[in-house]
Amino acid sequence: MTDRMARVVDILIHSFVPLLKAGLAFTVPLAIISFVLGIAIAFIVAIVRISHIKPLAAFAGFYVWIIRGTPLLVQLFIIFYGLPSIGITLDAMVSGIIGFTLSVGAYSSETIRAAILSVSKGQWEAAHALGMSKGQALRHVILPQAIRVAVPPLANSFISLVKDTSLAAAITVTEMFQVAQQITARTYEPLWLYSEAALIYLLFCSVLAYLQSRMEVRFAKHL
Amino acid sequence: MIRIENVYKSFGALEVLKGIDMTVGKGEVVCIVGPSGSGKSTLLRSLNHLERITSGRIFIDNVLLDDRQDDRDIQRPANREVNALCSEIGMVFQRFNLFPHLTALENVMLGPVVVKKAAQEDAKRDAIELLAKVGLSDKMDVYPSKLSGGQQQRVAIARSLAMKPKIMLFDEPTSALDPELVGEVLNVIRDLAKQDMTLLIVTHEMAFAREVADRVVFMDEGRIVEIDTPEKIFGSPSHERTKRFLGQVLNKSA
Ligand SMILES: Nc1ncnc2c1ncn2[C@@H]1O[C@H](COP(=O)(O)OP(=O)(O)O)[C@@H](O)[C@H]1O
Ligand SMILES: [Mg+2]
Repeated sequence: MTDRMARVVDILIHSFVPLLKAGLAFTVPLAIISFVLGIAIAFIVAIVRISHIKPLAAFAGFYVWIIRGTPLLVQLFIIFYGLPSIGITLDAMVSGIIGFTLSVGAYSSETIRAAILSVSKGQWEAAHALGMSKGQALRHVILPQAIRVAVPPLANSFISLVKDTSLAAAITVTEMFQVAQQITARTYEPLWLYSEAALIYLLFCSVLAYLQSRMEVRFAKHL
Repeated sequence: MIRIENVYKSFGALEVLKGIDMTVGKGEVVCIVGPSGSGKSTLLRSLNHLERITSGRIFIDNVLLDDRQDDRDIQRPANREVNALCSEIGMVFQRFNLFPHLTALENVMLGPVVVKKAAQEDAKRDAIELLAKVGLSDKMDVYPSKLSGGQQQRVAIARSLAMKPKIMLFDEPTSALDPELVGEVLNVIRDLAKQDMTLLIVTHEMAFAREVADRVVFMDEGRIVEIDTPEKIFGSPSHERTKRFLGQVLNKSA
């Protein structure tokens, strides 16, 4: 029994650095890059849907419909395993970034749209009365207020995304969960290895949750 | 300065303005009174494109703002021209509509900086001067949520004035205020009335209208019933409806 314990402790200690490395080299960049690109898409989609530019709004609505109506894992498989058969072969990490970006873009567009619509009509009117164009009003009056509304739910989305990146293991991205699987295959200690990986996810997410609460305090001012 | 010709406005099936004709001269102060729902706000809001009229024409400074004479829309000005015209027309709202994420000073600076591309220092200098003029020198760095209604409305007036408008529209500027705060806002408007600015004021403050107005408009059910000097309107109105309305309002405040 003590021998087993000693072995497990040894494995956990030796796997900690590779897991953390995989987390910092793949999980975190995958989450951050996808989130930044996804928010950019989400913002464009939200504006297009609010502005009622007919064909574009229809396309944006179609995109949101597809992404929200199909499983993320299936989307990742289509991008990584499916596209090569029509001649588009993408690196696993690139496939992951595309998949997660599209997902963030669709889900967060609704958050951003709701945040923009939550700013009262009187704010648009006051901006218009000063002679501002729609774009100027959006940039200087509406968005600074909408951001305060959008930040808490977007921070939640980011925390979810960090955990969702573990799905990329299924398309061979060597992120944290994939590394945990590899070590498990060698050591046959799934309970301990996966728990260790879970602990590192928990660590990441706790740091993020702390940053989120700090940010919310900052944004809550003057409202 | 302002010419309104045969203006109609409907919201769906509801006809709110039913053939408005009036002109307002440069430097003139016109007060608009009338029962609630008579279309006063809609008329004011049509003058800076917050509402689009259904038919008729509006000229600002001899420039066509809106032409709905026919469906062809030939003479409709471009958006950019409309924005330019609107920046010459200040508007003060019943509910102030200050920008809550900006300080009083920043509220006043934003229009000139964004719309007129004014330099920060110039905009700031003007804003400080305007806030002093409305008696808020000590509140420059305060956010709207920390200001009383009367103070917020005075910031809102300064914010409009920062664009150096030729015309100012006031839509019940004191209706959302506690009674003891009404005076401070009326004082600011009174000062503007003495200057060369063209003012259109929708108000329920009859004593104030009588004092500052060159002409008073009485509106009811989407029409201008009567338009005359305050002495005439308040002293010897020619229409029964005007008399009845004034009787009700003056009784209430007495
Ligand atoms: N955006 C709108 N949509 C539908 N009806 C409106 C709208 N704005 C105003 N109305 C209606 O138009 C009528 C006139 O409103 P308004 O111009 O605000 O009157 P007043 O300012 O004289 O009280 C009212 O019956 C009001 O309900
Ligand atoms: Mg009104």
